[in-house]
Amino acid sequence: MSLSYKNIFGVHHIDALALYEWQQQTYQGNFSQARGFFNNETTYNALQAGDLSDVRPGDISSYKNDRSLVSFLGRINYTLMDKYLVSVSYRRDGSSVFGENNKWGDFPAASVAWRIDQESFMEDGIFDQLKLRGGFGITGNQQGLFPQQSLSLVSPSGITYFGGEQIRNFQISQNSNEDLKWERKKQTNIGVDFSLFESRLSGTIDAYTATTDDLLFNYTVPQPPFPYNTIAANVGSIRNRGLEFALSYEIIRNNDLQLTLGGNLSLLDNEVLNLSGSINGVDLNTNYIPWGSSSFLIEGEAIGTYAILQHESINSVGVEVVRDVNGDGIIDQGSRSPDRVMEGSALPTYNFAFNPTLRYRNFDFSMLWRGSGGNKIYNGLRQNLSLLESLGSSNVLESAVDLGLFTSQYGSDLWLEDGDFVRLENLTVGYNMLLEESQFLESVRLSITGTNLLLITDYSGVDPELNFNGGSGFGGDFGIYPRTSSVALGLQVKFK
Amino acid sequence: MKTKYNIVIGIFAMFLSSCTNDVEEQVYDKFQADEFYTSAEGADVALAAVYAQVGGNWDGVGYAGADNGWYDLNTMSADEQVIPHRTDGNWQLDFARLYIHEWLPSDLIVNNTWNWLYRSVFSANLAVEQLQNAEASQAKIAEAKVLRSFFYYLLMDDYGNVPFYTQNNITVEELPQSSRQEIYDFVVSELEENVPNLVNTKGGEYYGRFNMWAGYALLAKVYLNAEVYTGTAQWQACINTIEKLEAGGFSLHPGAANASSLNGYQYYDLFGDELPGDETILAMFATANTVSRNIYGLRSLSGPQGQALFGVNGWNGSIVPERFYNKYADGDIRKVQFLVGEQPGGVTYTPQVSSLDNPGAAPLAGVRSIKFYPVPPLDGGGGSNDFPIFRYADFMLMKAECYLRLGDASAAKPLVDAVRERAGLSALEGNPTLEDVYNERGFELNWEGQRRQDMIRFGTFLEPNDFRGQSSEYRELFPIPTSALDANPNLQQNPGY
Repeated sequence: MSLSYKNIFGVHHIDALALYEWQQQTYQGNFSQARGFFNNETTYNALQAGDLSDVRPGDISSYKNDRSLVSFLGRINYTLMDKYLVSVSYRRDGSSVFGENNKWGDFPAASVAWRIDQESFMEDGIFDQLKLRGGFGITGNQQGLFPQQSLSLVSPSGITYFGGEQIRNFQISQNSNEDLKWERKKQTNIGVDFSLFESRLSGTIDAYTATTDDLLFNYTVPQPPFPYNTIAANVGSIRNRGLEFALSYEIIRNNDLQLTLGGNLSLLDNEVLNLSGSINGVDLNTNYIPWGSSSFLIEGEAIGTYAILQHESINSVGVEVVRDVNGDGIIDQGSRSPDRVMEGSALPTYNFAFNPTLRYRNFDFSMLWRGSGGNKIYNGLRQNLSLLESLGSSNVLESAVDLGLFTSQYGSDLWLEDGDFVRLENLTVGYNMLLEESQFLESVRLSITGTNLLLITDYSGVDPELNFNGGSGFGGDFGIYPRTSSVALGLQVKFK
Repeated sequence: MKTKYNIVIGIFAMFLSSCTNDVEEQVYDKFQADEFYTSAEGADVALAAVYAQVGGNWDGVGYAGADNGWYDLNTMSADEQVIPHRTDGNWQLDFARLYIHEWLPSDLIVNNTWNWLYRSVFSANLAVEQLQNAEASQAKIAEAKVLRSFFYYLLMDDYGNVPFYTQNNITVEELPQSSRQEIYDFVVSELEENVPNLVNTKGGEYYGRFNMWAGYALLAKVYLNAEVYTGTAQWQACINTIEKLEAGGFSLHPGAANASSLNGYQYYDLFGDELPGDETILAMFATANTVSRNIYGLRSLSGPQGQALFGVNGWNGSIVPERFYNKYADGDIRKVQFLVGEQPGGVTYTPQVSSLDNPGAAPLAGVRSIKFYPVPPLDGGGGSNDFPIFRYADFMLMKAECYLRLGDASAAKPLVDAVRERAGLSALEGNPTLEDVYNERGFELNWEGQRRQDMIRFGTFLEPNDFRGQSSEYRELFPIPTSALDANPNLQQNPGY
């Protein structure tokens, strides 16, 4: 539901909005399986054809949970003389997934902008457009948190033998955290939009810094006293900073020929500021939180920093030897082990795209190159396929023969690789015919488009661009579904 | 203009008040813990749930029956079984590392055992608390407390100085790492106080549960190993406790040949589907795929032999080290469990194993054991044999050992002889020595999870074996797992690791 209001009083322009939103997501599922079928014909379409006397724990299950989100938003935009713009907003959000006393959060934001090109002193300048922007805002995050984690719950858990019979078993299903609350991100940004030389050169530059507090994450907790080893909690803060440039330049512009070069570049920097905090009122020293394969959240370091054992050699019987960095005679595999050395992060520090387009009479041509880098990838797939001990039970890589590694107890930097890449994402060549004389047809376009045509990288795996699909386990390559390459021919006909 | 603003604000306020702002969390598929446990039935469920921890499940959960947990840790680090890495690429090296005493603090089995035991302590604490709140019978509260002591006994036995808590709402800062002596003192006083309150019913409703006799059995085990735990031996206390246990009326189950028994001898009823009550003091119940399981027979057999005997593939895993097998005398009915040479399914096992890790053992190398001859319901994931946690033969030999250690060899003789004679062997010519008892324990209790503890008590655990030299003293304790140290930096690792 929303209400909006607009009015102009001379040089003042006001635009106000009130908004209410209610969302509910329900997750529901059920599972059943049977065995001992009469024959294979009905498959899963008739589970009752299975042997119902052989139903086991786990054959039937169902679940349901939901989450609701309520938001109130008010926003006022004010513009003075079409040059000075101010926007203020305030939102109050409530989410069911948080603890009893922490369901609501308040998130204000404000921004200002100055359209310098509208000023009289700019009238004769080279700028067609010049706008300076700045803003500050707080936003909340709750979507990463599954429902029910603030509650102490008991769930059915198989069968147990007690009192001379088999009875249903129940157990506490999770470490609950009644203090769960909104994760808050404070972001400050400043930017400029410009175009000049008759709009042939245009672009934007943005700089931002964002600090996330009360970071929602599944933190490792000690067992004992917790019955499970992770708990969802708000501990810690991280900072993201970035610079983003986007530029587009029309080098040639005339009737027959048009050449435009476009591109963008983002520089990213992040740091874990703090990880200590309290869970259920208990202070926890939660540094070195496992994040991926040998990568961690470590105070003062980038997110997903690899702290990893150092490959030294392979001994005469084919067993990997790693460096005993502190020389105490013991290879400590713990997260905080002094034998681990920091070696970069799983997150890229830059990414870019380059997009030239060319048109000559009826021909057009465009390309999109894209890339990122500065990150490391733990190539777990190569590790799994490089141990000669698995000869006979699974495939090994050809390179494993040269490596000569029979077995290893370690996940060392032998498997750590640079993740830099450049990809030719798209290439299109087209020919357009304008059929002015035709009675029926307006135009015909013939084109050929290739996607994912070329990948330039030193990474030895299938593709360094992994799918980061949330949760932990980032930055490790344990096999991804490969991206397809395609070439498409197109014929587009427009009728009059 | 002023009126117009007021109208806008008024509409806005109406609009807010008409909206729902209910963000209470709904739970549809679970129970709220407070409400669930506060009923009398809920408290019983909490006690039953502790027993669910005892049965063996995947991911290293449980006392015995499955893999990668307590049982593997305590049998494969001894001399009675190991799973070699095979030249066909099968089996990871964790098991071989146990046998050659090169296990690591980060090893899965070390970690699983710890997590299982502490989740069990949590669940026992919960049961004690809920039973007390529900004002349950003294016997039930005692049962939950004895179960908790059982887990602490296993923790102190494997890990030494360990975190200790009896209330689940404790903070990490308040959770001390108690010394082995302190854990021992707690377990002894808790058992001395609570075991007499347990019921003395055998079998039926109490099959697979701590009745008074199982409680005394546990206490006797603790006294037996007191010298290892505290430096002070308690041989007489162990004898006294076994005498209390004897009031339960236990005897050796017959061993005689019997065609309808597993492996052809009545003796093997002790490892079958429902363990006989004459000898079994505490059993772990198993029905494959429903409650726990028992994989040990199937895990040892090769694939084709499993197919030939049971229609499911054997796992070609556990073997009996040749030197352990060679110690058995011919004519010992306990030797029947071992498989060597040509077998159904067209496989031939050779006793010699040349390598445990690199390059590994040949696929059919190694003696196999079907002490736990798989009983139905069974499938590729294991059989339904129950598992003997405590049985009387063990306690007869314990008593004999205590007599010997106190210098009374003639009192030990009938006990050792009875166990030997049941196995089809003759009585010893003279009085038994400690070494005789040690060997007899090996013959009688192999693959039952007692061997590591016995070897440590008899001082043989560190001695060289066929695949390693002398082991370092610190190996008599397992390391606190890496993940536990990572999560709680206040914990102190055992020396040497």
